Amino acid sequence: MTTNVHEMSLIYRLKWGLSLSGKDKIKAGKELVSWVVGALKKEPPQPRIFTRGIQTVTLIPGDGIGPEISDAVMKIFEAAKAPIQWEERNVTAIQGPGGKWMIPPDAKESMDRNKIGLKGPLKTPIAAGHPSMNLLLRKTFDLYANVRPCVSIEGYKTPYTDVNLVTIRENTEGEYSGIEHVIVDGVVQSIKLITEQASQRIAEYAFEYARNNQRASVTAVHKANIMRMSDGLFLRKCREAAEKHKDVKFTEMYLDTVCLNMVQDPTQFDVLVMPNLYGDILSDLCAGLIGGLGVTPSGNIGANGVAIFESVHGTAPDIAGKDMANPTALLLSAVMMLRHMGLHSHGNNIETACFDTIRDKKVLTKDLGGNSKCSEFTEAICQRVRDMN
Amino acid sequence: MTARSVRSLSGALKPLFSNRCPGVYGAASCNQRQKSTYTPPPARYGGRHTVTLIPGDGIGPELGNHVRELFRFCCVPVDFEVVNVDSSVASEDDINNAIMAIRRNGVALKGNIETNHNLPPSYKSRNNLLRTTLDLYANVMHCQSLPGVRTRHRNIDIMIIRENTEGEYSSLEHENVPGVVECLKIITKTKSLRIADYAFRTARAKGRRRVTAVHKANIMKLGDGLFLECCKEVASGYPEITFDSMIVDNTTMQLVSRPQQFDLMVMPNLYGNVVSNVCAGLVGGPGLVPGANYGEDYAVFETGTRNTGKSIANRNTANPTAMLLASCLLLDHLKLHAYASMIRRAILSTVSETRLHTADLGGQGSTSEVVQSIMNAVQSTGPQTLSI
Repeated sequence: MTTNVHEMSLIYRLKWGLSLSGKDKIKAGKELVSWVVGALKKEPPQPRIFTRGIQTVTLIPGDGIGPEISDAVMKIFEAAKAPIQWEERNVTAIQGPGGKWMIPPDAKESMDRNKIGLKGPLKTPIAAGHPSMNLLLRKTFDLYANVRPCVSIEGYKTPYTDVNLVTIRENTEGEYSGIEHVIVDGVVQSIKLITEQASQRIAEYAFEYARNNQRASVTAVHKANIMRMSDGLFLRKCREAAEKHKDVKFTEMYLDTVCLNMVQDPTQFDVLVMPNLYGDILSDLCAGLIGGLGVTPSGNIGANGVAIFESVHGTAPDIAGKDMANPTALLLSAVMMLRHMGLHSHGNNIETACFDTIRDKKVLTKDLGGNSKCSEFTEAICQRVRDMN
Repeated sequence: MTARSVRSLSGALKPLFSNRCPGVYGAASCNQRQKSTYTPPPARYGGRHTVTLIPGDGIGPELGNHVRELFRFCCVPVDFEVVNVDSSVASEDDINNAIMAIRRNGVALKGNIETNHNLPPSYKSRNNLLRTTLDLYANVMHCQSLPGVRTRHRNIDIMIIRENTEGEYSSLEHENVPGVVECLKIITKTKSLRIADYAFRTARAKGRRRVTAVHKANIMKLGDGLFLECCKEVASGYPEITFDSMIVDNTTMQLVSRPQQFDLMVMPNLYGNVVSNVCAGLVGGPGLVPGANYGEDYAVFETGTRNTGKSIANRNTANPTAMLLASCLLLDHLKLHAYASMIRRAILSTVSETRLHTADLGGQGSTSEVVQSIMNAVQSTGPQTLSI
């Protein structure tokens, strides 16, 4: 582990205004100057603006095919010489003091330290007594935005070509607040919660994302004709955020119109921002357009600069351990991660290698229509990446 | 037996034989049908039916006019009572008049009434008000691939039955704390059983083999869990029909990759909105699919995806197919089956002609050309007034 403990403690002391020793003062001064210069240069917001060199990322392999595909991603990153160091952690729900379910403290500490994570599929056992692991992670790190870029993969044919859109979904409240009551026997009430703060946060994030990724427009998806107050509040916050980002075009569209137009002509959409339920449905709809969850990347952005990138498919226990898995989803999520960290060149290389391999159709895993092994597919991508360097 | 005594006899036997064939007042010649699908006969005087027509906004008025024109041309024994609903005024008198007219006539054909979502919550959606007041609990949309319309997927034949009155559309919202809004989604056992029952009865009547319930019960365990339970309960009474369930996000994914796997789908309100729009998009767009809203006593017909079409209003470019097919559903409901099939055949023959396609189907035809072509098709097949 090459995490610079001294450097980290220096930064924490700087942040919290604690006293510095003489040697540190000079170093602190240098760091301060470079930070100011960096801020003046207006680099895109990155969570790790102080460190240089190899960045550590928490890796959660997950269950089922998780370990295989994580291995594949690590191999490809090594071949691409990406400056990433992996710190593997396991997340299984444990019961903390007071009976509250939580993730293991070492996983939490690693995530808080590294701020960036890559996660494979986690299984949710039914009737295990604890909530789903994904929900626990979401609550622990306040992952408020779920970002899913959906780009058509050349070489994996679907009836829809030229899809290039991003769905940004509010991940913490809305219809999934889990607040339900049985009022009288036979009448159930489910509460959809929309708060000003969460709506503002997601709207701001959507516009920031559009700006940082050179996207032309943001569309807010809502049903304010029926749910006037709740979706109305969400829309108002989106409009306010639009005012602050006049360089990005803003439109509003009803959920049913979006669905109707999406299956007829998905090219008209760019960035879509929406509350939880609509986001769930639409992001899966868009994943279906490009070929399903096996090829779709996804990222969860949290407060305090935390970001966890994940593959959204299941654990596929029937093919676990048989070297048949398709690592594309996790790989593309890892590419998203690289872009988030500012390592665009490495990200582009790996993505190009992946798409070229799929377009070539010589080595494809079973779900993509071929009959190669996972390791062969991985090796093909590694070879391409090495040839690029 | 005199006609009067037969009629009084049929009145006495009404609980037993709950269907009345128009024009034939003998209890013996009526076929036995399930009681709960029966709606009382609509206004019928001198052999002509009166139907409420609500033009609505956007393309509604012009399409309503085309329907009237076509019906006049085909000598359909239907008179329309036009009730205008002005969506820009805050008062609900207009919509209440419309509702009263529908209660009077029993059937209606409606265009979509615009809802300005920037107005405060006291201004309720007029369409929603109409549906809930008249308790039109089932929204039925039949999405079929039409010959002559090029789409990415072929051979789609999905019937969507959507609960139309409760769920997320209960319009119950409040702001307890400034900045925190709660919206209630209500699911009740009675309405879920009712819609499930309607779905399975329809499946049986139309010969459908499989019913899929769409839900999100893994997250909304109590609400959608109740809906699913009701569907399972009703399914047990229909052993010849396969019942399965699917989570809504997986459903949309399956719909865009392999829509041919679905047969009949039943679901609560909001998911119905999403799924019906996705299916309409898959078969060719909002201009092709008609929709019907059925209640215990009333029926209202409209386009399936309920669009106002403000941007293409009054330009003679709207696709009249959806509204005209909805009027055929209306005729079927009024038991004027011969007229319905005559007009439907003419519409389908026109839709298969690519040069008449309107802008939404990628062509350059105008609405009036399409309607004219339908009238020509009707004339060439010859009106079949004797086969009723």
